[in-house]
Amino acid sequence: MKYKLLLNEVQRQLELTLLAVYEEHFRVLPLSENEIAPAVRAGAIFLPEFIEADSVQEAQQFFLSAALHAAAHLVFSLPTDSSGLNNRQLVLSSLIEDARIERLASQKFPGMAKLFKRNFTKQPTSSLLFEEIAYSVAYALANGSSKFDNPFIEKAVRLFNEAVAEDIHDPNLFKSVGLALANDIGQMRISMNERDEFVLVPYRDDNSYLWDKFEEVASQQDDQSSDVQESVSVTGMGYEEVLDGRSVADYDEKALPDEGLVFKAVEEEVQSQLLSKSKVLSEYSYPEWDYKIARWKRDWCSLNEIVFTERAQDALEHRVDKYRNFVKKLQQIINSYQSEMHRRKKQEDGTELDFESIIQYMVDFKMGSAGAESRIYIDHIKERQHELSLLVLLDLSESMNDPDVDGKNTVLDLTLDSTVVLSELLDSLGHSYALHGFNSNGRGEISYYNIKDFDQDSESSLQSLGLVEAAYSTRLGAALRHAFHKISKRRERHKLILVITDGQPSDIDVYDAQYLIEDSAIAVKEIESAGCKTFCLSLDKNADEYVQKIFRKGHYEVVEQPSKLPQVLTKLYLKVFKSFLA
Amino acid sequence: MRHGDISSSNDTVGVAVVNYKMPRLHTKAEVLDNAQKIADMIIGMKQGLPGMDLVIFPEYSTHGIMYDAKEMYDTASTIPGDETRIFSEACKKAKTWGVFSLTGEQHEEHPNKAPYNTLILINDQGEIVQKYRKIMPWCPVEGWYPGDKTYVTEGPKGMMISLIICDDGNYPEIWRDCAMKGAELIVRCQGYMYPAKEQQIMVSKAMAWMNNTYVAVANASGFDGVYSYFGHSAIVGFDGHTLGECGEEDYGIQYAELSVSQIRDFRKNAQSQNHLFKLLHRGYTGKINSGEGDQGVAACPYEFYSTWINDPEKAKEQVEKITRKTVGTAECPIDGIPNEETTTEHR
Repeated sequence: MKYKLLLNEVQRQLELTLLAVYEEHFRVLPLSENEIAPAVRAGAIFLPEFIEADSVQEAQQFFLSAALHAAAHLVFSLPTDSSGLNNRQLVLSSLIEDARIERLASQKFPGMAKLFKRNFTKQPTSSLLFEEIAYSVAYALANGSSKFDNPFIEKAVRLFNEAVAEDIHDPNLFKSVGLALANDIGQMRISMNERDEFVLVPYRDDNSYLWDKFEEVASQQDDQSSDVQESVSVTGMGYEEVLDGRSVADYDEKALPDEGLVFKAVEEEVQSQLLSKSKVLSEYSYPEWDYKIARWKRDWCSLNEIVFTERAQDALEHRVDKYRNFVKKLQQIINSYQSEMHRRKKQEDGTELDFESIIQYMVDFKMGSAGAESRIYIDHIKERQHELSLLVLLDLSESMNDPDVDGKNTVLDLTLDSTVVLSELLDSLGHSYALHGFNSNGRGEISYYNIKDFDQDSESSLQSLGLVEAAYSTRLGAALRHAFHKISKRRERHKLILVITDGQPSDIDVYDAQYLIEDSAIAVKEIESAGCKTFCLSLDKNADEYVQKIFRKGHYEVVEQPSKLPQVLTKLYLKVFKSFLA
Repeated sequence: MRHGDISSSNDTVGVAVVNYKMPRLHTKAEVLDNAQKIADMIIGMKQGLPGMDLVIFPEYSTHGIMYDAKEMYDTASTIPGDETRIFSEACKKAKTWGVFSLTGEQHEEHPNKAPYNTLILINDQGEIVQKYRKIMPWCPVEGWYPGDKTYVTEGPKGMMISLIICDDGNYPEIWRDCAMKGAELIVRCQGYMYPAKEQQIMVSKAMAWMNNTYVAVANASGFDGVYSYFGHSAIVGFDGHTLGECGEEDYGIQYAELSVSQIRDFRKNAQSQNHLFKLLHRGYTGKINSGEGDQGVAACPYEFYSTWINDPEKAKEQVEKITRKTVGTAECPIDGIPNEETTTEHR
């Protein structure tokens, strides 16, 4: 007789266990009915609604193992670019990463290794099917086996152990182990069905969390669809990246990243019906989080990305003129800031010795109070400035047309002025940045204005600012998801989305004031869990009530005097940038 | 039609209605436990009522009312599914037909769209032979996705059966729709609460009379922490007389035998109160006297209905002139339901 254990019955217990083990709160949520494999999405852990097993203990073991494993990904794994990787490479790199995070988790609680091991109930075989070989590798790593009949398995374990010894905290090291193994499999001419999804060990998640897809993947697909047969020579033995006459590096729709962030390009180059001076570049669907039922509403929001086809000639000048003195001061601040930040003293690593620190260290040493670590270097950090990508997301809803406190300008005017000043700052620092805006007319009509994209020249693209108009509502969550989609394609190490808004998320088809606040909060969590920071500047003096529900503490600022926005923005930026370098 | 015995015959369908105590449940496991309790009750009832051909449980009897939206979505069933398997097994074992409530049934676009409030009719072979989704959810309280169709199914001993749910029954259109499509027994499952007790007893009797149809009502009883349910499950004859009616007791059961031949004989031979026939042969006596044939008038004389069919938006505007324009009302606002003071402008 099979015993059926519902997730509901152990959900709370699992969340508390994860809190105790990892000292972090994780949400455990049910998968939808037709899904089987556990998944990590939007910073939450999704497990099957129920499990049927031979005993209660076995079912409990499944849920516990699955939750601990998935949470270990959230703690130890970093989503990485899967561009150009075929399914075989993804599978092997994923299972190596699975073993790494389990090893890390078990370092603190050795009993966890035994728990994970108990899930490998099937003995490995000597089959040469790809799935069986992959299982054997996973089995060997989980069981810590030392004797192997198969030299490939032996090599896999050896490479893994070497990587552990070198730096278990470096996921890229382990990714390279996975890729090396995939290469060997290729040389062994062992094929796998690229379209098949298979489950190696049921308690492990589908690993979609690990892999980001970049836009280049789609273009790669186009290239490969034309029967290109790539011949790669590895150690003198060539093999083709083609199986059954078809490229194995084909783009796999099912391997899209984190489901909470899934987008769907529907149509390219559709002529806009909205504005004659702009055009719709692409249409996207995004999910939305319904907090009342604690579920995703899939493909719920339709978002059009719009670019301006015209330019307003005087858009920059008259706005810069207003703040000319401020901009001058800003230049001075930036210059001193840059020289200060170029040379960071008292660093553990660096290219220059910090003599003041050395002297201090020697004094401490003589006095017997020197620590084991010596921070005696100066680090030149100019290069790091190029590791930052910033996306400024402007709320362009109707309320932006309201007059500011002085009644002379609209809030939109101030926002655009500030944007120009900010762009001066960003250009001076040499950062990659984008200026985007959004508004919405119900879930079916979200407009996302691409005013300046990352690689566009700021002087010409910023002229689009003169064409920006404020109208409609504020569906922040969908806009944030698209902003993340845009910035996630950037290669810079640090990514930041800065939202400038004047009111709480709202839309004409939503009557529950909390709904879009909760969805925006989930969007922020998704984005932050994927390694991108979010900050908010609110021009609504009553924003405290909701902005702290959406953004993390210290990641928002409510501007009491909108006229001070350019100054506040600059200060915030400098503070944020410093935090990246800290 | 007869009442008082525990038997049935080749001409009569033995119908039982149950005052099922409104359960208060939270999880799928609890729902399945309760479904099993209903199944066990059917087996017991058949032992006591050997003539029972059809047993009817109230709306919400399987799930209770999930006042928490997450619980409501989490426990929404599929059809067929775990709950219906339990009911099918019981119907087969007890050799009886049954009507069961599933609140809710997952929408085709679950969870993007709200679940349905659904009734199913299962035959004595355990097969689901009718699935009806509530057309008139009890707004503003009920958040079900509205259904859009009634059904008529040949039931035990050939009796034609339609299912309707609770607030559906407050609209004469649904009774007429079922009866005109051939229903001889209209089953009204409800989870009706105070204060509208007397009105509901009256409505079911009046509709039986006006539509020349048997009516079987199964209602919940007890208190679920939010509402108090008045029971009074009843079986009403096609002449509007109540054959048997429960009080407010938990798990009270009424039983009556409904003659198939009698209702067919009535509909064939009744004259002055044959409402179904007369509605489509309007004023035939006067038309004969006027030398305009012997069929009366078939055309619908009611302008509201012709407007509703041909121009629903216009009909809606007309009703808003005599009622209000917004679904909610500012004088008794309800969260999530917009009223005339709700901001509908872009911000």
